[in-house]
Amino acid sequence: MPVRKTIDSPEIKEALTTMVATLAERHGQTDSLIVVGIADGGVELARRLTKLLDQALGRTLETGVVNVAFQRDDIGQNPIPKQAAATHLPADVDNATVLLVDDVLSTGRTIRAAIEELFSIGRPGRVELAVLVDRGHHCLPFSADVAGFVEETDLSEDVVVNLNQNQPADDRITITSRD
Amino acid sequence: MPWNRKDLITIENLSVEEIEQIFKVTAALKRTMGRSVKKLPALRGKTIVNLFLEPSTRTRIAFEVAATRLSADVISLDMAASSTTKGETLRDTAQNIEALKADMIVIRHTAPGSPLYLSRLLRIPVVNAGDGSHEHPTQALLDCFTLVEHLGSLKGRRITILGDILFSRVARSNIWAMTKLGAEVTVAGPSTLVPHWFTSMGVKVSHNLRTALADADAVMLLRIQHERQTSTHFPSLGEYTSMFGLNRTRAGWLKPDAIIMHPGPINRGVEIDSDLADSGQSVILEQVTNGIAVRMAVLYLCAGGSPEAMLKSAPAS
Repeated sequence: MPVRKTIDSPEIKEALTTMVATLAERHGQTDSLIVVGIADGGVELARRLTKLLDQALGRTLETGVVNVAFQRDDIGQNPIPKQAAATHLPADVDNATVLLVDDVLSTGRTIRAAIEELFSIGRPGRVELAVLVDRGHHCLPFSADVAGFVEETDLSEDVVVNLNQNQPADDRITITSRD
Repeated sequence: MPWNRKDLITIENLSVEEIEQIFKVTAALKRTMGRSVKKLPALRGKTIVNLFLEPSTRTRIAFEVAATRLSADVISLDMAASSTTKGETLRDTAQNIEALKADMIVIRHTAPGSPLYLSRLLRIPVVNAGDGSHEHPTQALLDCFTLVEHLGSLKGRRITILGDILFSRVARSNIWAMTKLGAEVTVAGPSTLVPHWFTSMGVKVSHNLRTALADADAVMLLRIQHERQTSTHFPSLGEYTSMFGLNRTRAGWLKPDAIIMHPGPINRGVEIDSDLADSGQSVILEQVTNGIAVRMAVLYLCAGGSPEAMLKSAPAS
């Protein structure tokens, strides 16, 4: 599979810094902010953003995970993937501001499912979305509040984000063609 | 590996990876049971028919609850309501259900092999809820899930199954599941109900109750299956209780942290003393709760294991 583009660790680090600066500015006064990664792709990104936001805001934010498996709308049409980390929310989500985090935003179907999962547990006051890569091809009325990269991609391409918890120097975004 | 089965018929032909995948989904679903909104939309718009051609309360209700929690519509047919009493064959009943555009059949039948037969006949998923004395796969899955919750990995763990092994589909499915997961299984009870040939399934056969209990990390008690016994295998229930029933004295032979399991329905005072069934070592009611989560996982996975889904390589993002 031919690789069209790669984005490496230094650029990713810079993008994260910019994302966090934007988020810190928006949420300096938000008292109940919960950072929630969408399993599995958004979990490590959520961890990084939380760490950087903790430093920027000078407090410790709550983090959680949502698993969208049981909110999917394509059961019987697409294969059931391996089970990812289970939904786990640390604090009461009622009236909280939830920052959903995913690695790649495309159709928005995962975001729809993640919002359903969130609302099956509580009633957040506000939900925002942060993604590392917005690759376009949105099919639902969702857009990212904060995106690290906005990439124009072809539908025949795959966008793969590798964020390595132990070796951040190996972080990489790869855009490959399936043709 | 994504899940790629439309049916759950036996434990015998499941791989360890598949069992572990079911457990992961079960664990995730169990956590949703603590929510105030317990219903998930996963099977919204799907119709599941419970075809129970043998008496069952617990398993049927567990499947109904599981399907309802996944937002499926459930229709339960029991023996009395089915046209089999009017002479219709199983094949015709099942094909009629498929023609009604049901999306899945959960079947319990007295004849071993009937779920397998339906799974080959029908395009829709078929889940075995017990076929004669052959297998009861969801019971074994919920038992092993409960064991893993208490013991961690089952590798090298010792589990004793005590009671009517010969006529028990629960025993057969559990022997397959436990040995696949690496446990050392001992089957114990009267020699007429625990014949030596069970060793061919990779288990120890013991008629020495004391050592069978003393070594065990968990003991599973099975009910005497009066309804499946065609001849007398022991003189009386009273004699069975005095020889093999789990009472205070015999429970004293168990390790203090060994757990006591029973798939239900329990016959208090026969295979287990009443106070032991309610003791801290007993996990019988946890098994019931886990039974819902396991069946939700099985319905969810089999609904997603359709041939159409398998033709596509990747899930939509």
